[in-house]
Amino acid sequence: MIRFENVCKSYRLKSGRKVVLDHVSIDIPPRMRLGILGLNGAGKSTLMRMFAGGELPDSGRIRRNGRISFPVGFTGTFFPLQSGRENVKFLARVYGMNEREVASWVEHFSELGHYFDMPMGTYSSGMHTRIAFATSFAFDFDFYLVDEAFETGDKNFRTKCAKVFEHRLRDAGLVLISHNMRTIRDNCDTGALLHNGKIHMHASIEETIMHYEQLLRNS
Amino acid sequence: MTERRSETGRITTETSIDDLRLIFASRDRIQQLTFPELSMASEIAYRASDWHTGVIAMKEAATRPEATAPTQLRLGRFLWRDNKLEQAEEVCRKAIDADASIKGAYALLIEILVSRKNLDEAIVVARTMRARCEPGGDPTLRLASLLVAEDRLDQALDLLQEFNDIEPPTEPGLMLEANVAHRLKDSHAALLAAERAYRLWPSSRSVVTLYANLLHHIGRYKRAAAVLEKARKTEPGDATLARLHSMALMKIGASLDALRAAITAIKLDRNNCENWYMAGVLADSLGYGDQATMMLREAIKIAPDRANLYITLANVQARSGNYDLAVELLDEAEKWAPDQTGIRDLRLNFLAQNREFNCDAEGTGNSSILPLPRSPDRERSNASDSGAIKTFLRRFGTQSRIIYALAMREIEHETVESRFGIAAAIFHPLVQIAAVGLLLSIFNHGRPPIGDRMFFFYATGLIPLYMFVHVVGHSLPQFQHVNFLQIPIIQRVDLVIGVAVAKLIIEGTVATMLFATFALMSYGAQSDNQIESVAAYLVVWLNAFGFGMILAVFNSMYRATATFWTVGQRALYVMSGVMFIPEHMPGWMREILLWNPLLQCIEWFRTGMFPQHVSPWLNKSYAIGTGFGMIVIGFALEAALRHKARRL
Repeated sequence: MIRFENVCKSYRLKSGRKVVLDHVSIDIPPRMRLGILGLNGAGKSTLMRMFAGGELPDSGRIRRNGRISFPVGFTGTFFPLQSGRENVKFLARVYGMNEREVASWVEHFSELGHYFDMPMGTYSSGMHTRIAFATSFAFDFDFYLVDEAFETGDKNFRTKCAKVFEHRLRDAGLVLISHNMRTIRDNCDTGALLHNGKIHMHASIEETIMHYEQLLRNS
Repeated sequence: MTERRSETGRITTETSIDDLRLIFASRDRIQQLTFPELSMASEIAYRASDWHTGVIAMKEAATRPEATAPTQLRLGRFLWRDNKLEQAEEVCRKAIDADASIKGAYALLIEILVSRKNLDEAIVVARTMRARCEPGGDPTLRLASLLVAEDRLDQALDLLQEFNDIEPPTEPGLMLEANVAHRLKDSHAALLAAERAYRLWPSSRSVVTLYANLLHHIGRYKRAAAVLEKARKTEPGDATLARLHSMALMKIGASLDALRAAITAIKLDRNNCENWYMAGVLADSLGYGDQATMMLREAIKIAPDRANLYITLANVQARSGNYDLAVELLDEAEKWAPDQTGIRDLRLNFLAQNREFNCDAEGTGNSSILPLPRSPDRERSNASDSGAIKTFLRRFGTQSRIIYALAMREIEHETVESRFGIAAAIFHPLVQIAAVGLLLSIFNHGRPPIGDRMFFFYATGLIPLYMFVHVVGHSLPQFQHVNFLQIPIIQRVDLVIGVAVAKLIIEGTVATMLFATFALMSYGAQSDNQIESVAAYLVVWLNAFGFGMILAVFNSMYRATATFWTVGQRALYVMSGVMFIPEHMPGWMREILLWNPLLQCIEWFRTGMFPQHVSPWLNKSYAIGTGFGMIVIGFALEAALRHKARRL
């Protein structure tokens, strides 16, 4: 369960104050697959960082029960001078999972071969993507956070990722931010629209998409 | 005399309608009737719904000298009932000419004009009536309703706003205004009218329902939930209010309360498909798949022709891996909504997933993929035996594991570029000790303040100083490491603790290696009290950790903190007794510098390293106290000011 209790978040910009969340209270129960839509600049990525804990609210509280993932496909924790294996082992250590098992799985899934034991600074962007996704799926979370990350990598790898991710989601919830309606439709059953500092929850993803398209037309 | 039926044809209250018709068959007999008799005749005709006879009676009455505006009005009503609209209109206008404030005539005229579809003229009459008569909005409402029926919404809204603003508002008037404004997509006007109605009639079910719906529509779910909660207290048996409340609660994310409200709605009205559907959707979103299935099946029983019920149930089944059943449900949905292409897409998606699901040898959807690693925490979190102590121990274990991982990573960071690993960390202090030793050898003929080995003496000052400087310097930017903070399990304080632990291990190893080398070379003082130095070294670490945490907090708020630290660490070389001992300092300076806990720690460190060194100014309690004090302050500041961190 992720719970926002009267959460406020805003930034001071040169043009004035940008309100991202204005006294927002929502519950995201376990196994909910929530798609978040919003116009550009509405604060979706900030919201995602708040889900992850990287960004703190100005006021209010965010409670997280269960294991919340880092953003799927996130590469920020990888240290370029260390090998893929060492970087993966670090995360396995953080999450208390079997380092060897996780590293083997990522090595096999990412198909990086001997590059897996080379410093990550030598990797191409495609290799970075592979290891980032493989690492995200190697960990067993109660909630997966995804911020516009599905549309990367080659087609075969994307298909493989989709299969594994679907399997992971049988036991977990999802918070997904994407501008791709198909991605949202395929992965989410509940939607929320972030607009003017409020999160409007909808019973179905179709309702959210309709509301979003209405906003797009009016904007 | 007029109270009884006369044999001579007079009209009384007991005259039957048949007798009346006989009397009215003769023009002569009508002319013989008095004005009151004609009035009485019109009442008898009204009771018998004989509009034609009534018209005859009132037409005659209208010709009499006693006739007034109400007489004309009564004639107008009979004509209107007798469907003689043109004549009725004419009579009404005569009545208005005779008495400009006769409200009934205006109302009837509006009705007649509306019946004749002359709405523009009706609006003019309505406005004239408002200008000339006492307040009262019934015909206006009728007119507005008709304008709405004619889809002339703008005019209807103008009229309603005009009347509701000027006259005392009525519940139907405000409700209609809100509805019309809503249809015109003027949410603000709609909400204003509904809010006004809610203020005036807060317990009216229709008002509450409309107001809550409008609040819902414009996204003020929290307010809608509050209004509905209040309404439900006064109308606990109203299923619609319960369902609306459930919807509002769901929108604000209170899914569990929403489910409770939906279940209440079901209890109150089991035959409403919407109640079951709402509860089913909520149960599904909360992960109660079985309950969701049961509720959606009930909804389908009530409304088997609604495709969306089958689609929702299909999604629930697919999530449980029942793809065959999901596909069957979609087939059923397609029967009721053959034009919805989305159903076919979803069906194909389920069929594809079903194939993968069935050939899933290892539970990953692809036999070429290794079984997915599973977290040991999952089994633990499923266990229900979590007492307070066990929870604490589990949390403590998790925190220790994270700090260990971060510390190991920091150590790997420091040593990854060197072939010598952690041993490489000794080179930097060695060079520094050599440089300081050589530089200061020109003073005091190259003799150190304590002992006779210059480099050993400076090492006893520089090693604790480096511990302090390195721990603080590396702690300072930790709260800016947003990448690590994207891992939800890692907290801000973990980063500082992890770095401090890593530095304790690295700097401790360096110190051990350095002083072990000096001992092996028999260089420097020989002491059997190094435990004092170890204790002092740990207290340096305590102070560094606390001060590092404080600076990290301020650095997350003010950029100038890093500059302050850069300048400050230079001053520490002089202020911490690295190159001199307090005994050799001027008295006034010593009094000030003794407040520096690092100086106290270095003095403490040297008492362990030099058996002959006795420091009268050493205050161990002060050094330990400042260490713990700064840690407490550091944690308190972090908790209090974490919201104020600047954005990177």
